[in-house]
Amino acid sequence: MKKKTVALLLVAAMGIASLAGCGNGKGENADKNTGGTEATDEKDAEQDADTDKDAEADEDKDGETGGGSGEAVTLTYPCIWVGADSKAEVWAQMIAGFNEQYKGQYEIQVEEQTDYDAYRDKIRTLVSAKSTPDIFTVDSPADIQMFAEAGELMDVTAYLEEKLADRFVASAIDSAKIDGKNYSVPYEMAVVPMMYNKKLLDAAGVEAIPTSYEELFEACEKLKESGVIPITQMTNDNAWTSMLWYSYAVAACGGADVYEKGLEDEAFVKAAELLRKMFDYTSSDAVGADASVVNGHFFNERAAIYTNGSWILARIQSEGVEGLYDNLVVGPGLSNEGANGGAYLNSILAYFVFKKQDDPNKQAAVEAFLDYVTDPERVLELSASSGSLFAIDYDTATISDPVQVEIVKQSSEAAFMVPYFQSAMSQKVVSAFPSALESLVLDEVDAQGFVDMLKNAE
Amino acid sequence: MGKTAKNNKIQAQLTPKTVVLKIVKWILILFFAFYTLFPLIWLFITSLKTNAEYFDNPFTLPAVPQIQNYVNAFTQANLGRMIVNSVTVSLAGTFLNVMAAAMAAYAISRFAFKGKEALFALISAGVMVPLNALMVPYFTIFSKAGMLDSLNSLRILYAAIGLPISIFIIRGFMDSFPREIEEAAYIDGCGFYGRFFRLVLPLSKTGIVTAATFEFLTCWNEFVYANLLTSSPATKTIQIGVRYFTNQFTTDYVSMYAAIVIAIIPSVVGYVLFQEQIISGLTAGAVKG
Repeated sequence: MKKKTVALLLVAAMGIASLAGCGNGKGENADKNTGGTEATDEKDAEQDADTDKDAEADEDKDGETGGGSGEAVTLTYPCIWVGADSKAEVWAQMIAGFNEQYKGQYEIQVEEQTDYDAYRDKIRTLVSAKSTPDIFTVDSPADIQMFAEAGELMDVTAYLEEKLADRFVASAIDSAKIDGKNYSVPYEMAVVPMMYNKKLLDAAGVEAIPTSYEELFEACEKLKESGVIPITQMTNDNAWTSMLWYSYAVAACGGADVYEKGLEDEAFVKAAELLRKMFDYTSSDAVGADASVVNGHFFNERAAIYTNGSWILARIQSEGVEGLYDNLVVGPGLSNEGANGGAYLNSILAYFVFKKQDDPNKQAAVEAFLDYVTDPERVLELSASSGSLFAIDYDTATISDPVQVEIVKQSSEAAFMVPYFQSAMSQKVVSAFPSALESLVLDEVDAQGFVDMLKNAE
Repeated sequence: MGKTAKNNKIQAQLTPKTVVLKIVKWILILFFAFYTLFPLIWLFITSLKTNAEYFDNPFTLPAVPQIQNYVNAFTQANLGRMIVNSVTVSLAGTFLNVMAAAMAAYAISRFAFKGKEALFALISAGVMVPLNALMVPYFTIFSKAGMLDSLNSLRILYAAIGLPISIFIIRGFMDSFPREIEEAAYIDGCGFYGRFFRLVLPLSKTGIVTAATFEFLTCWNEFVYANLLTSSPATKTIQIGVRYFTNQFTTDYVSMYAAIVIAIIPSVVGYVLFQEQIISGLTAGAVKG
């Protein structure tokens, strides 16, 4: 009998728990306004608070939502620059600063998004369901075009040209136009140098940084003889760093306008031959390796040559072995058969896009946000703290980090700039790249077969 | 005298053949124990290292155990609240799921009606539908219902998406016990609800536990919909917390592993507490004739 009573009570409790909050989800929804904009300290405080305090705080916050902030225009913003991202701390300060400056008028509600693939899926779902967030970032011009054609994006052309045009680096705004209109604002830039560990090169007898693929392979031979992994490569996930190596090889074989000709261009086959050869000088675990393996080899001086975006600099400093950063030398792309040397990989990594608004107050809030986050002083702080570079024309002379300064200098003097493969190709081709690369490296296909696999995906 | 007989019996059992078999048996047991436990042990050890140590060699011991990784997991990712959310979502989702599945399975198993098998096939086919393909319709439903950013949307969704597999499992168990038991209860005056709650449910306990185990694990590990349907920190679940340390281009591996260790503790505790029921439920089908 007792058993039955206990069981009944448990079932009842579970039933109540399952339906608890059906009314309004007060406790669960109360923190909405705080979003991820709260500083970590505030989160810590929330964590430490006992249940009663949480409940009280929730009530208070709920009160604000319903009453106090009723006049403030709120903008929803799923944000990827949170958590372990190198920009997270300063970006959170910027958002907090905006909310403070426009207190009672505008408010950004940040929703923390860490897993990038899940974020991308979420954005596409929200746009498809006509629940587009007020502010978000995308990395693909194809997505921007798709969202704009769906009529979900705000046209910010007039505001950009009238108010903010001077703030952007040359041609950044124009290159983001679709049919003459800006539905997006270019923001974070991927600037990708080749990186060399000078100490390992010196120890192997490599006297100068390679400037051509011929010199690179000579250097690789020497490095291999010295017992060091010459080049880092990977095939897992999106094969990110190998994709960057391929991008440099494509630029060296086809020049600045190589992507205009598409995969039919012979340069893609030649570049695949170079990439295949590079795998002869990589680690034994390259097939199947992910970013952690590649980073592990370079950060621990097991490998001498590496490539990645400038955002990795902060991690090399914090997670690399002692002295690695001091021995870090960066360089531009290499020439192939005497042509197309000195290129730099450069793509827009994050475009800001905004939901099309009927409410002029919301539009004004978006413009205030744009004005705030493109302020050169603020962007400089963001850049200096994270190693990332931006499409904003800020005073790079005040950047103190020597490696970052060198990247800025080299990229501004580059023979030509070229986007990396992932940003220049369709999503289908990008998705097919890792498996095509594995087939190439495992000699299941030759260079032509590799390109054919990419073409088939397209 | 008795002792001598016992020794003789043991000696008789220890023939070269039995000794070899025992050695092989223990090698296999140890191999599978190592095979199962090694990833967990590695995960725990790695969660106590620095990222630099992890990059240097993933298979060494930490020079100094980094308890800070666990502090980071709790403070930065706010895992405490996420665990509570996941527990309530998983328990409620599992409860709703097995109750609804048991009712549906009862109707399909015990009643004769036109299109019964077609209906069962249709429900079971739901197992094969990739959940990611349903993101837009599910989002739209919960948006129209005003249930976005609420844990109730997850409780209901998880209960719903697990129905095909739960109905499939529970129906199999309900089919296996004789109709006469129910008929006897009917003759004794037991009504419809009485037969279901007092007879069919207890007799289907092993099937329900099996279905509940799968459902709980689905609820606990689900990430895509948790990320899609919730947005505020108060409604995040543990799987979102686990991914807090990974970003577009960077991952704080050791803190993420600490979060994973924390995330699997409730499942392990649940298994330890209910292992008898879970094992009997999962193995019941193996001897079903």
